[in-house]
Amino acid sequence: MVKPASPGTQPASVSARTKKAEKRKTVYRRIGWLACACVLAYVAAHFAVITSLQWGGEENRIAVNVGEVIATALLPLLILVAYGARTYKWGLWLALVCCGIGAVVCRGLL
Amino acid sequence: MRETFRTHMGWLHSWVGFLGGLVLTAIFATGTLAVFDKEITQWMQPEVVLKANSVTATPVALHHAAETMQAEQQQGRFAFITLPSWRDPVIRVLHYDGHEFIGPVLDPIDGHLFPARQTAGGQFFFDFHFALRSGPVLGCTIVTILGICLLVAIGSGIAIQIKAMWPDLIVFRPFGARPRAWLDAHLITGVLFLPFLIMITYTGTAIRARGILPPHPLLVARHSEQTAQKADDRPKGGRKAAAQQTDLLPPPLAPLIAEAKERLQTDKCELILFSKTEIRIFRSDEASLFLSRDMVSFSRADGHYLGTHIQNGAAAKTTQLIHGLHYARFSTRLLLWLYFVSGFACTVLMASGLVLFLIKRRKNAGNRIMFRLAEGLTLATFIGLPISIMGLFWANRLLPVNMPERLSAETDVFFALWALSCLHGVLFSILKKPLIGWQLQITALAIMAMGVPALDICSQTHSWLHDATRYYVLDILVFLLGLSALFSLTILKRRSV
Repeated sequence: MVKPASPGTQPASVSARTKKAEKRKTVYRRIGWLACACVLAYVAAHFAVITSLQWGGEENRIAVNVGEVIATALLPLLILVAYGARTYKWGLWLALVCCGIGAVVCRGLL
Repeated sequence: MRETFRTHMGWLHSWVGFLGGLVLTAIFATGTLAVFDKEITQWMQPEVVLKANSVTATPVALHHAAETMQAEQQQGRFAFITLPSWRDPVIRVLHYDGHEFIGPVLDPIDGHLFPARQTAGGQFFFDFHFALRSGPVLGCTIVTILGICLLVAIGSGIAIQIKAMWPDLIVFRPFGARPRAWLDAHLITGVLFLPFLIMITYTGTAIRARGILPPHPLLVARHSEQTAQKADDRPKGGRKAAAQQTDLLPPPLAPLIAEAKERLQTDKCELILFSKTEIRIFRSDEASLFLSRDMVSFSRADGHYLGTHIQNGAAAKTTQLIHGLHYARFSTRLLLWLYFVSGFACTVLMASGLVLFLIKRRKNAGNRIMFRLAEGLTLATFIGLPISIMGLFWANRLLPVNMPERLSAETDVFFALWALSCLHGVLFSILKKPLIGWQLQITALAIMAMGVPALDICSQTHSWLHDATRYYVLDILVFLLGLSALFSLTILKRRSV
């Protein structure tokens, strides 16, 4: 006679399977979040370089070099903030706001 | 599953660090060697006799250099001249072969050509460091992306370890339990060399940032400008026309160099470029921390002064500082050694990170094929790379001096050994005998490294009495590497018993 499982407990294999699925889901979610953070950070860095083009004046090339220097610092920093701050749910929002500001500045609306 | 800030950052640090680290370790190792690229080139060309006092070229030697440059240009090569410096007291007439700057070497006193063997020299490590030997577009782009990955890994590493930085700095237990020892090595090098790691990674990535940031109008304009200039500089009608247009020998270079020094207000000029119409003399990279491309132009026909190009201003200085800090050409010998030691420590940091990643996952994922593959690749990066570098040195001494295509034969030996090490590592890992794989490769490394000085002595290709420092230093360093490999082997064998 098969003994019924007591309420609130599950067989070990089912529990392990659920745990594994949950872990996999967590990893997929992390990858997705990281991908979003990378894209947004990249777009923001791109806008930083484009903005330096507009402020370069006659010596445009040198200004762009400086823009690249700033963008290089911005890119990993934004990735870290956008991904790391997901615990507090505002990471991607911040990156999105940075992109928005960059887009607006680039279009010369400010 | 509870997700905290530290678990997020830990995951990011592990995976970005491991996947990027497999290549970044090689990039850092070759970059560390590239700090002494000139000295390695000299070791690999023992036929070149260095006279430490001859840091200025005589007019006769410059005349011979101009003739050699012209002969190179008539063969369709874009040749230029580098003047003697305290690190490399010879005249070199170089051209870019797609990977390295190579070419004839001349005595700075009488201008005779040294019968130097064809070798990639220290330039090989430089090329691998910044382009993975895959060309300036693909290779540089990959390296720059990896630079960003490293910055992310550094940032996440700081985030997870910030509270324990002080204890990490002083606690090292090399004879502790295995994960503990590796973790201590990872943390102590990470914390101690953190400023250098951030500086060198950031400056390296910023220098090549154009490769990964999106194209913009200036890039297109600049590209078309450069293409037009190249078309203008390169004679139409191929090599025959080139020969006709570069028939005239440039005017005497000594007075032009003196004038350039005066106009640039420097006591060192290093590089002379020749276009169809102009001679451009550049300030030496050693002159200052700011690596500028300040230059004076002269007419190629009669040597009259055309103009001076000096970049000043905050923006230009920022860029020059970034270049100067990364290339470290301004350095004294002591500072070069500091760069070397710091680069070595950062390589150890990354390599220990790779091993830690595997140790942590062995229990849960040790049987998976991906784990086995990762283990094999780690072995190829950690031990296989030094083996192949030793192979390059062996090939340099063993291959016949006048062998055709000697340069590519040397580099082929390097890559063949690395591929072999990779195959060996993956095979032993798949066969579930990784420890034997490690032991075998460490043994090979010890034999090859300790064999290099012996080979150098046996080949007797240079005088040990005259300016032998470069040979002693490299041989001793390589021998020490062999000894440390031997020491690691004994520890590994003791633990496996």
